[in-house]
Amino acid sequence: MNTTLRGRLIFSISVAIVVTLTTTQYGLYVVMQRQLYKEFDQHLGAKARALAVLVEQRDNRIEVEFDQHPMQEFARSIRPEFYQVWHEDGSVISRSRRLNGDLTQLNGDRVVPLVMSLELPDKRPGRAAGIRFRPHLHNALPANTSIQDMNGRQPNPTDDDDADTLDLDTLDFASRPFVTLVVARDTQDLNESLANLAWLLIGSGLFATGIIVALLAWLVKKNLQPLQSLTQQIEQVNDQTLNQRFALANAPGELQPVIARLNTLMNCLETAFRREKTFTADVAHELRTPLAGIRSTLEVSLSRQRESGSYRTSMERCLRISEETETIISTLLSLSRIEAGQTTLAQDVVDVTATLRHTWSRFAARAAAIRVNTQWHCEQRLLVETDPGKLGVVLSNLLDNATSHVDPDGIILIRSQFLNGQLNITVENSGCELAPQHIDRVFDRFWRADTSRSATGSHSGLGLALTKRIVQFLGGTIEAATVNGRFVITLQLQTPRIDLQLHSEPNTAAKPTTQPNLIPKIVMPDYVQR
Amino acid sequence: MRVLVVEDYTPVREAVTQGLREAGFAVDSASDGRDGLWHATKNQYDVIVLDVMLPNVSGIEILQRLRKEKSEARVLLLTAKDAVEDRVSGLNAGADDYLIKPFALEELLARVHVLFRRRYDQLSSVIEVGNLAIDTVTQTVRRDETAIELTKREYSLLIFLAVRTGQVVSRSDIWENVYEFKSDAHSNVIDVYIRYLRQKLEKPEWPRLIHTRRGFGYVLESQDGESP
Repeated sequence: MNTTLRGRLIFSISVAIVVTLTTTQYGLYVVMQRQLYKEFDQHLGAKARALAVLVEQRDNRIEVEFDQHPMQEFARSIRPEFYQVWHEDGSVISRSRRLNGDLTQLNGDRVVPLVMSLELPDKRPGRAAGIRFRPHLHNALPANTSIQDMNGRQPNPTDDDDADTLDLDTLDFASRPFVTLVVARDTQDLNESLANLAWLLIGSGLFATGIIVALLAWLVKKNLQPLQSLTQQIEQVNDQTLNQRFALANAPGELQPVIARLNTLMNCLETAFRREKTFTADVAHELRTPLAGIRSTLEVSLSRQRESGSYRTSMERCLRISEETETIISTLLSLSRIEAGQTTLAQDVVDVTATLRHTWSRFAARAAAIRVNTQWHCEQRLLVETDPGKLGVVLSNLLDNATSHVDPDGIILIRSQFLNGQLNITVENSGCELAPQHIDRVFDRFWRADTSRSATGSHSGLGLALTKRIVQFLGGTIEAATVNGRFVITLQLQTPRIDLQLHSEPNTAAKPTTQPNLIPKIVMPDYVQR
Repeated sequence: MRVLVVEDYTPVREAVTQGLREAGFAVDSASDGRDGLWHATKNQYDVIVLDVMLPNVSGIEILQRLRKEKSEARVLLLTAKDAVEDRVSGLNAGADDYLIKPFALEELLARVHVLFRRRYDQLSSVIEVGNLAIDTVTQTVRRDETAIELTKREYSLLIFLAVRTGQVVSRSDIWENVYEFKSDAHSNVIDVYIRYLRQKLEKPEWPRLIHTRRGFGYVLESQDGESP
């Protein structure tokens, strides 16, 4: 079965139209049939009434005047009409000469004759109308009464044997006997008319159905054209044409939100694809550069016979490059794991300030070498509940970043406090040359202020990207800003502050408590350990 | 045979510099774009090996500046980005060739040689002057089928003269192009090397090749073209 929208529409509307047409035509046929039968029956009844006038009672005898001189329709040999007259007791008074057999005796009222369908004695289908009446007395009709028989003949008063006037006073109307007159006529003409009507209705119905279905198919096709056009546009979309947008001239109202939604989706897709492409290119770049370093160093080293010290230098250099590369790869891996939701959250109590000081010890020597002035504004005993390992990585990255970008003789400011129900950590370094428009990009993967990789190779532009993902994972926010030539990173974590007393045993509260080890044992990324 | 290497990633810069130097080129190096641009515009280099992503001034910007100033230096781009658009943008900016990182040092040397030959419109890898034939690929020198052993420095000096056959070159030209930027200039060093070269290249039965133009410098040409 055709399951296209077009097919379904044409099929269902066609079925509805055919059903409606058939029902209407059938109804029309039935009404017409009834009307024709009604007229036929009225005509037959009128004929029976007219003939009844010509049935007279003379003395005790019933005379059927048209018996001797039957009208042409009863006398003809082709498709004759029939009549039959009975006494009340069922004995036949008269019947048309062409009638070989009996008609059904129908005792209808003179006003409302009894009519029924029947098979005429000569096997033709027909209808018969019968009335039961008391025939009038011979000469009982007023002299001025003019009666036309069915053949339009005027009864000749001189036909009557006796022209004497009727003595109404002597009549006992109720004692006069009833007779039954039945007139029958075939319905061949009527049936032919009905058959013709039926064929006319069927033919016109079929013709109308054909026209309507064709018109419908054209209209449906025309009106579904926008959908067809949209389908074609969608079919042409592939990973190379993500920059194209859907557009339909005169799009119907129902399609406009679909098109708008599709275009929004295309925007998202294009952005995602571009980001993915850039990311892949960046990864390739980040890995190719150290690989080029290793290869060139080894090739130069092997290009001729050298002193053993020279080989050693080359090997050490290659080792250092491979360690840097390993760092990049493990950071990338951490990033993709955290982005893929494959990281679990461990909860523990952490002394933030102590962790900051502990982490700083790894960078203190580097900072001291360029005479950096380190300023601490940290609340003591700042205990919070969070993931110690991840917080450790975040703090290392922030301090590493500050140490790497601070100017010689500059300042690094470290602030930690509990403010408005959340943990605030700020790390600032002087010597920031970052343009304000680049501030938002510092958290992008592989983004560096100067577009090149640094000479040491350890800052691949991934540290802050990873930091941001971790902070988001911990349910916090991180922001970067430049203030008076200082690069300021502020981290906020929604985490409850822990009161150390809650963790002390009640009986030891009075005694000086042993300092619990609240500095987490952090497995630092390689670049932090170096 | 003077080459500038501009590359911010130290291991690559040092390895390429050493490799080129050992192949007989006079090599200067720069570790960022600003430094690289200064070198490239202040000195005459035959070939510049240029990284695309550099701090301060990008490799593409350096290239555009060089082309704007009608520099004749041939430029070999080094890039870690291998997308078609990256390669095309480099070539469109005026690069003569490009190499994707990581690369084989041998290939880099071969390409630098090709660019060097192209710089002096030498289609063949063999430069011939009279009965002297210099194979720039194998770096071998022959005269009348006699192989002549030269040191790297002598070879560089000979190449410098050979690609300028018939042109008089001054001692300072030789100094700037055969010796590295940072080495100290002593013009008598040139005379010493010229004497070494003459001793190795010339025999009484062969015509003279290196001629002194007093007050001007030296010229390499076969005897046929020598002025009396």
